[in-house]
Amino acid sequence: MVEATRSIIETRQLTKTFRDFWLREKVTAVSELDLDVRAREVFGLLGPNGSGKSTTLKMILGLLFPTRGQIAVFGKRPTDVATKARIGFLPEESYLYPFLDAYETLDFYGRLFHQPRPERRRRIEMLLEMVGLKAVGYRRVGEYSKGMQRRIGLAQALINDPDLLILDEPTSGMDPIGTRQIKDIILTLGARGKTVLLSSHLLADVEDVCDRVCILYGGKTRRTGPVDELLARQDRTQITTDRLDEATLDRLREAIRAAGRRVLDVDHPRDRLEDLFLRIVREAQQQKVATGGALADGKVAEFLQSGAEAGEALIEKLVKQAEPVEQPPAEQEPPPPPQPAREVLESLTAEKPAVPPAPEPGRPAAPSKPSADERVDRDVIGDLLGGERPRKDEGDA
Amino acid sequence: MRSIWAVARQTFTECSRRKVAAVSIALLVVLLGGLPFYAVGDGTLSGRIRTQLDYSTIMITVLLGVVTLILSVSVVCDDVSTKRIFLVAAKPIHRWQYILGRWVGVVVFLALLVAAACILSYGLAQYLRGQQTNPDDRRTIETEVFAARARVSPESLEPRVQQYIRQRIESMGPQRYEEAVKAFLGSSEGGSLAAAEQALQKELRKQALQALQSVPPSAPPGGRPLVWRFQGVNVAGAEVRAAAEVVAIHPNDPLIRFRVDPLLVGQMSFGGPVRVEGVDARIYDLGRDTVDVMFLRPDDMKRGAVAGLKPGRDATLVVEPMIQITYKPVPQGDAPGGVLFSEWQVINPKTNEVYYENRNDPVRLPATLSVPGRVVSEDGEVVVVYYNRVSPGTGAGTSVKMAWEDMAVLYRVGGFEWNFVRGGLMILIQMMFLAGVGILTGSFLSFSVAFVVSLLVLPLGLMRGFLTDAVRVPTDAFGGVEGAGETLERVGLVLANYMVRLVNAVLPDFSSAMPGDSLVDGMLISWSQLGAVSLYAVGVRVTIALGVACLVFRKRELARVQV
Repeated sequence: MVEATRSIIETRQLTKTFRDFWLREKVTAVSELDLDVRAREVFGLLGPNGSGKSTTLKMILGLLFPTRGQIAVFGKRPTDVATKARIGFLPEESYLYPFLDAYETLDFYGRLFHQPRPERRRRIEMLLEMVGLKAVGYRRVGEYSKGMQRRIGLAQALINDPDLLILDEPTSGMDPIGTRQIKDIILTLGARGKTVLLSSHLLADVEDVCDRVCILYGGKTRRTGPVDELLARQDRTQITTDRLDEATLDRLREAIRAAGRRVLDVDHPRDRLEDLFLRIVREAQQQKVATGGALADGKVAEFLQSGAEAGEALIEKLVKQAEPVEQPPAEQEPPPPPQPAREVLESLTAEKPAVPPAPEPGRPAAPSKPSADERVDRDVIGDLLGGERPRKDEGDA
Repeated sequence: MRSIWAVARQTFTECSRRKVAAVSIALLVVLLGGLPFYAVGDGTLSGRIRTQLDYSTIMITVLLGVVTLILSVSVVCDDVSTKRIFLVAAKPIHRWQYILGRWVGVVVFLALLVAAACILSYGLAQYLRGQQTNPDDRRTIETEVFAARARVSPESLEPRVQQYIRQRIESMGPQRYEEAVKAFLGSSEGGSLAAAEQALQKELRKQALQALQSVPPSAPPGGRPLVWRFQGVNVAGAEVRAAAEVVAIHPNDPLIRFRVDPLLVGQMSFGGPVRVEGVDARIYDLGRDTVDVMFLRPDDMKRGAVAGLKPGRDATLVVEPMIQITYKPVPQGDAPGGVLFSEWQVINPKTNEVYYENRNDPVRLPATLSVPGRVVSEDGEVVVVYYNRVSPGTGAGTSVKMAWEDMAVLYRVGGFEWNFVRGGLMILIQMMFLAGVGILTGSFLSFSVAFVVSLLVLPLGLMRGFLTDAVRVPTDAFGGVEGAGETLERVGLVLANYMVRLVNAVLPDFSSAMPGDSLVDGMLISWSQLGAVSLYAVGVRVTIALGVACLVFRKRELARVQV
C-alpha cells in the first residue's frame, strides 16, 4: 500500500492489462502510470479515445483491479468503504435506474451515504433545482433525454458534498448550459478546497477549469504539469484592452518596436459562441418560453457553496453527520500557481489605467485565472494528442 | 444494516415496477380465480375444495418460483450489464451488503406476492366451503379438510414380523431350511450362498406381512381380529360443556336440533361425538348457531333426562374432543357388492372403556372412523381392534388386507387458518432459497446462462426422491465377475449415484416442503416442521449460496472488459 501523503490520489507503476477468454494478455490499457492528484486541485486526465483515462478512473474507484502497481485514495485502498463516503463519481454515461423518478434516484443514493432524511430531502431539492429538473422530478428517469439523465447523474455525484469529485467525460451529452454549469460547479468546489479529477478529450473544458493535467497516450503518461505552464508560450505576449483608436495603436506599435519586438497581429477579439448561446437561452428563460426539458437557473446548490446559509462549518457538520467517516487532517493550501510575467504589459499600459472586464451577471466569479484566449496555445495539446489539432470553434463550443 | 435496507428498498421498487411482476400477478389471478370452476376433482364439494387447494399450491410454487428466478437473477445481472453497478459500487457500501440487500428486496417482494396468492386461494376455498352439500360430504370437509390434524402411526409391526420368520424357520427344521436355501441358490442372480439366504428371508418376510396384515371374514361374535396399538396421542383441549336450547325434536328419527352459542359451534365437528344430558350422540349437522344431534340408538331418546326434553327447554351439551382412525381396506377376493363390513372396537387400555362401531366401507378407498377422545388413555395410548365381518344379509365375505402404513390415528390440534399460514410460509421458504440461487448465479454469469442454470434447480429439487431411486446402486455393484460392458455400466451407475448425492446435498427436497398434500388432507404443518425446513433450506443452504455470491462478487471486476 502506498504511504499516505498530501496526495489525495496516488498511483505507482499502475498497469492494467485486459485478457481474452483464455486469459491471454491482449490489451494494455494503462501502463506504469505514476499519478499524483493533490489536495484542493482540479486535475485533468487528457487523452484521445482508448488512451486509458476511463480505465484509470475505474481502478481508482475499485471497479477494476490493477494488474500491477499500486493505488491509494486518501491513503487507503480504492475499495475501502470509508474512503468512498468522501467521493462523488459521474461516469461517462449516466447509468441510472430507468424505473425510478429523479427524487427516488437521488433518495436511493443519499441513503447509501446514510444521510438523515431531512438533510437528504433538503439536498435533493437543492440539487434538482440546480440541475433544472425540479419540474420533472416525478417523471421516471427512463423517460429523460440523455442530457437530462446526465444532469441527474451529476446531482447524484454531488449528493454527499464530496471531498473528491471524479468526473468521467463530464460534459458528454450536455448542452452548453449544462456544460457551463458543470464547469461552474467544478470551479466552485475547487474554490472550496475540494479535489476534482476529471477525464475528457474536450480540451476547452479541461483548459477552463483544470489546475494541472496529465496527458495520456497508449496508456502511458506523455506530459504532466500545471495547465498554465504547459500552455504558456513564453516567446509571445498578448494584450487585451478596450477598443483603441489608430493613434494609440500606432503608439503601441512604436513602443513595441522600441522594445526590440515585432507586432505580429492586431485584431478585434470575438465573443465566444458559448457566451452567446448562454445569453440567448437566459433571455428565453426570462420570457418564460415553455419547455419540457431542463430549466437550470445556473446557480450552484447552496450546500455546495462556501459560506452559504449557516456557512461552511454547518455544511461540514452535516457532511460529517451524514458520513460515518473519520476526516483526515485538513489539507494544506497548495502554493498558488506561477503567474506569467507582466512587466512588459505594465510598462506599455502605464499611460492608461487598465480597466478590468466586468464579470458576467449570473455567473459565479471564477478564480483569478487568465481567460482562455489570453494564454492558450492549442497546438501544444494538439501535438501531444497525435496531430489532432482542434479548431478554434471546436475549442470554444 | 442501513445500506442493506437501502438496496432492499430499491430492489423492492424495481421488482414491483417490472412487467414480469405485473404479468405474473395477472396470470395468478386468472389461473387461481378460475380453479374452483374448472377443477372439479371427484365431483363432490370436498373433492373440489381439495383439488382447488392442491392445484393452487402447485401453481403458486411453480409460477412464483419462475418469477423468483427471473427477478433474483436479473437484479444483479442487469446492474452489471447496464453498468448501473458503477454508481452503486462507487458509493460507501460493501459488496456483500449489496448482495444481501438485493436478496432481501426480492424476498420481501415475493413475500407480498405469496401472501396475495395465498389470500386469494384461501378466499376461494372459503367460497367453496360455503356451498351446499350433503351431510357426509360436509363432515369430510369440516373434519378432514378444514382442520389441522396430527398423525400417529401404530406401533411397529417389525417385532411380530421377526417373530413370524423365526417361527417359520424353526418349524422348517435345519434340513428343510437348507433345501429351501438351495432352491433359492438356483434362482438368485449373484449365485452366492449369502444372496440365496437373503432371498429366502425376503420371501419369508413377504409371507409374514401378508399373514399379519390380512384377516379372513367372520360372523359376529368372535373371529380373528387385527389389533393396532397407538401411543403418543395427545387429544387437544378438554371437553366443552354448555347449555343449549331445544329448538325442535324430530318426530321419527332420534334427532334433536339445539340452539347454541356460535362460539360453541366452532368447537364442534361434523360427525363428532357429543353427550346430551349424559347420553352419547353424534353431531349430524351444524348451522351458524344451531346444531343437530343424532342419538346412536332410537331408544336413547327415552333415556334419563333426555326423555324430558321439549322445545324451548335447556339441556346440557358436552362436546368431547375427537380422534379419527384412518384405514384402507383391500379385499383379497371379490367383495360382495363392492362393500366390506367391519366391526371396530377402540379401547382405552387404562380404563378399559370401549367404543364400538359397525361399518360398511367401499373397497380400496381410504376411510375414516371418528371416535370420542375418551378412548385415549391419559398417557396417550389407544388400542384399535378390527373384525372383518361377513355381509349381514348374505353371509358372504372375503379376506381383507389392512396395510400397516395405511393405519393412523389423527387428532385435531389446530385450525385450518394457521395451518394455511404455515403452508404459505413453506412456499415462501422455497422462494427464499430460489432467490438465493438466482442471486448466486447472477453474481457471476450473464442473465441467460444464470437463468437456465437456476431454472434447473426447480425440477431437480422436486424430483430429488425420484432421481435417488432411479440411480440406486446395488449393494454388490463391484462384486462378482463380469465383462467390460457391465463394468462400464456399473461405474456409470456409481458416478450417477454420486451426482445425485451431490444434488441432494445442494438442493432442498421441494416435494417434502410442498404444503399441498398436508392442506388437502387437513394434516398439521407444525411450527417445528416449518422451522426444520427453514433451518435446512434457508438457514444453511441460502447462507451458503449468498456467502459464495458475496465472495464471488467481491472478487469480481465490475467494469471488466472482455477483449
